[in-house]
Formats: sequence, structure tokens, C-alpha cells
Amino acid sequence: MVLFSSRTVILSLLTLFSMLLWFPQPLHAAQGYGQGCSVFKPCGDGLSCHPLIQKCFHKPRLEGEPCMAGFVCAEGLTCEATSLECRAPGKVGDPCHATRPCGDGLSCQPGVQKCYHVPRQNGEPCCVGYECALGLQCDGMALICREPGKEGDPCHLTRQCGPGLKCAVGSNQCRPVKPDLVVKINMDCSSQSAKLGHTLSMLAYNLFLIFPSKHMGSNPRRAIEIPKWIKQNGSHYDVVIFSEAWLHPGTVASGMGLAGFCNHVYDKREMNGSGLAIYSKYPIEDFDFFNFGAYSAGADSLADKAVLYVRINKGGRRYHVFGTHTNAEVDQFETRVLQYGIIRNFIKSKVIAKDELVVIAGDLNEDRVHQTDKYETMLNEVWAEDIPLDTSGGQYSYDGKENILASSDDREALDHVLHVADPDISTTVILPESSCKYIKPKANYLDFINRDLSDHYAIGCTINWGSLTSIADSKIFTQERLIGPNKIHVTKIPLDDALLLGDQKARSRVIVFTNPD
Amino acid sequence: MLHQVMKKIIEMRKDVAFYIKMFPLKGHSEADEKSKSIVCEKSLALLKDAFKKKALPKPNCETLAIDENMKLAQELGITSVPIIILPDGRLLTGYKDTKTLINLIGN
Repeated sequence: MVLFSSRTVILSLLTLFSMLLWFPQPLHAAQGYGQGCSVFKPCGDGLSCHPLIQKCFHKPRLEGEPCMAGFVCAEGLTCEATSLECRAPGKVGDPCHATRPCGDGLSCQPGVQKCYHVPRQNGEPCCVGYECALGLQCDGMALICREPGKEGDPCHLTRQCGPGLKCAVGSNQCRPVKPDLVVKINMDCSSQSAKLGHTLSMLAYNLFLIFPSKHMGSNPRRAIEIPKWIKQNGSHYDVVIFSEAWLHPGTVASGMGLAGFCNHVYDKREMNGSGLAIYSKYPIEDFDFFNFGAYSAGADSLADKAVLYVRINKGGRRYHVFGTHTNAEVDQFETRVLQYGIIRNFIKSKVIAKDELVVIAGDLNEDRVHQTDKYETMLNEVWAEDIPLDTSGGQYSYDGKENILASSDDREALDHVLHVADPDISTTVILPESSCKYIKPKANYLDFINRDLSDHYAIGCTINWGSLTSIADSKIFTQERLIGPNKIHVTKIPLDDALLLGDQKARSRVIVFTNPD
Repeated sequence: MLHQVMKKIIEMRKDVAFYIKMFPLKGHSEADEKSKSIVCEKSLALLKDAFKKKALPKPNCETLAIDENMKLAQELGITSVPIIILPDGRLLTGYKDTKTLINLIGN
């Protein structure tokens, strides 16, 4: 037996300790991913020992790895409280809750606790605060986003029918709309001196014959006075397009007959109808009606807002007039864009020769003065251009500062007459002498002198037009006459002050005059 | 709006450039001053701000360019905006969508 003195033992321990200092490797090799670990068995680089499991995991933790305070998840991952595991943001249909959020563009649907698109797509669940995408509706019974019903589909208050359809009372199924149009179409009551040729004169007017309203007491009288005003002041118009002509349609029609407009197509359904009417001095050869169906928002969906079409034959030339009244509120632009699509497709569905003039007229609810972006989007959506506005009649068709029947102080240019300029539909061109002008119909009625006849002003237009396709055959117009007067010597226009958009060396220079205000 | 259409066209057609001239409409009380601010700075950004109804800085130069534009517009019979004058001198009134304007510009 060998005996060691305490001094020897102490020296041996010191020697061993100093060796450890010289060779500072762990007593065990570093533990790898998923291997057991402890204070004495530390994890390798980029890993850390999870205290509850005693195994090595990435630092920070990756998806599916355990997490807790001090052992956090990598960027973009969340430590789920129930499983204490790192989770990536949920995809569509993945479970979700407070500590398991959904990915970009998704949100957690209360109740089912699963991730769905924002806004919800067709077939996804919906409820208040979790709305459906544009063009879909939240079916209040199933709480699922659905497309508007097709013909024969079931329908109810929160599952409305698509364009051209209406929910039939009783069967609660989507059925084609029967607009109950009153039609009188084959007469020619124009005067002998009426201007023929390539000219169309028209008036578009929102009549404000509506219930309820603060001024509804004046409705019966205004229904009489408006046609009277047209008789006195609008005898030169070929066509008149009314919107909000919901109430007293028969009275208006009688008055318009007396005013010289012997042809008409109007919707007599009053407040649940479209409020649209078109009157013409020239024979109406064809007419049609197409509603916006479920593509209507807010209070407007209580009515049956729509497009009313007539094809007029004036002196052997056909004119295609689409009268409409789109959704009213400023914040319903997206709904109106859907309605523009319906108008566009409706136009496309008609048989239109390329040398025939196509116009859209009515209360389109885009403010040309204050919402120019939206106004121009509208033009783009319906393939149209506007007709130059003669501002001697003012700039606004709704003028709360001036019109006694207007319910707010707003001043807006909402009523328009547009020329459909898509070359695939019509190659007609508007000649420079064309113009539109806001007109302020007033009359003495109900003890008021010079009182406004509607909360809107009318827009009256004289459209002189030509057709590029008919030029070769036409004796009235030649290419020279159509384009010649407009031709500009571009080299004479100084460009020093112009803003350049594009490459200065570009071969084709286009000059644009614009108003910055 | 037409500005977006023009931007699309210069992306599609490198051989096309737009020269934008200011034509302040009568009845638009601030249009004249805004036009001058834009011309003085020669700034597309300011024009964009104006379209967005943002306030523009006061003109920082004296310029007759706007008056001359108005005179020129009168000579050319221009009364409304936008007006587009194509490379061959054809004058177009009003907004045109991208497809239509490219077709009209031609090759």
C-alpha cells in the first residue's frame, strides 16, 4: 500500500488543474443538434440546451423547436403558448390564436380559429369585422362569402342575386329582372327644322323624385314643373335621360309628351325600381335594361339601380344611349367600378356598327372636380372620354352652396355625358365644336320664385361627331375636314417650359396640355 | 388618370416621350399659381402633388410661360383639358386609355 502525504495530494491536484487550464477543452465533446445536454455536456456552436427537455436545439429556435423565456424563436416565428414550440405564421386553413398568428394577408377567423384571406375569398368564413372581398357577399345564414346568386340559386337578404337578376318573392330564387318598363317607341315627333346630320343634342337630369327626403312634399309639383321647364327651355334636345325619376313617373311621362318627346322607355316601379327614364323625339328602335343586382351597396341596394339602353334612329343614323345612375356615396367607389364593368359588358352585348355614336349619360357619381383620379378611372373602365365642358354654366351639377334643395354644402360635378371611344366598339370621334354645360332648371312653384327643380342641376350637351370608318364613303366628311382643322404644326409649339416624361431623345413627341388644379 | 397612362406608355415604348405644358383653366382660382410653381421648378413631382391636391410652394421665378401657353392655346382653339397633340399634329380632346393612345400615336 502506498501512502501519500497531504502535501503530495495537493500538488497533484494543482498539477491536474493547471493542465486543465492549458488544455481548456470540455470534458465531453460538444453535443450536436437533438443530443442530450447538461451543464457538463454543453451544446455545440449555434445551439443551446433546452432546460425542460435537456436536448440541444438551434439558437434562436427554428420552426417546430421548443421555446420558452430566454430561448426565443428565430425572426418571423412565434412561440406558441400552448405547445411551447416555434411556429411560422399560419397559412390558409392553419389553426391560429393569440400566440399563433396568421401570415401576411391573412387573419384569424373567430370561432373556427383558422387563418383566412383578408378580405375573405369565395367560400371562406366571414362575420362582422371579417368582410368578404369586393364582389362577394357574406351569406348571413351560412356566414360564408359567396358570389352573387346565379339564375335559380337560392337568395335572401344577405345572399343577393347577380347582375340582371332579382330575388323572386315566394320562391326565393334568383330570376331575371322584370323591370316593368313603360314603352312607347315608334313615333317621330321632331320638328321639320330639327338639325339632322352628325349632331345629337341631349339632356341628362337627376330629378330627385325620391322618398323619403326632406323635400318630398314638393315631389308631385316638381313632377309637373320639370317637363314644363323642358318644354319651355329644352325643346332643342333630341333625347332626355332622367335618373331618380322614381316617383310620379306617369306625371312626368305625360308632361314630357306635352313637351314634345313622344317616345319613351321608363321604369314605373317607383322606389324599388331603377328611377331611370329615357325620352326621345326620334323613334326608339330597340331598348333594354340591365340591373347591377348585388353589385350595389348601402341604401342604393334597396332600389334596383341599373342601365337603361335605347337605340334611337335620328334621320337614318343610329344613336346608342345608355342612361344610368351608379352607387351614390363617395366611399362606394369600388362598388361603382364593378358597376362600370357591368355597363361596359352591357355595351359590348349590343349590336353597334363602328360608325354609330355611343353615349353614356346620367348621374355617375364621380366628381370630376375633386376626385379626378376616380373620374378618370371611370372613363377608363367604360372606355369613354368626356365631352368638353363649357363652364359658363358652372362647374358643379350638385351645388350645396347654391341649390336650395341640396342637403349638404358639398359642391360636386357628378352628372356626365360620356362618349364611348373604344375603337373596338365605335370609331366615332367628337368634333371640337361639341360641348356640355351644366344647366340650372328653375321655376316658380309652391309660392317660391325661381326655385330649383331638383337637388342636382342638369347637363345639356350638343355632340357633333364624325366617324373614321365612314370617312372614305362619306360626302359630308373627309379625312381632311375631320382631322385637318385640328392638325397642328407641332414644331411651332415651344417646349422649353414643358415637363418631359420619357427620354429626351425619343423619336415620337406627344404634347399634352393639362391643368394642374 | 392620363398621367398614369403616359407613364405606362413610356415604359412600353421607349421611342415615345411626353411634353407636358401647363394650361390653367379659368375658374380654377389656384391653377395659375400652381402652373407657375411647376414651370419654375420644371418638376413632375410638383405636378403629381398638384393632381393629389397637395399644396405647392409659391413660384420661385418670374415666368411668362403660362401666359404664352394661354395665348398659344387660344390660337390653337384649345378650351379644355387634357388636350393631346400627337407627333403628326392631330389634336385629341379628353382622356384616352393606354390602348387607344398607343394606337393613335402609331409607330
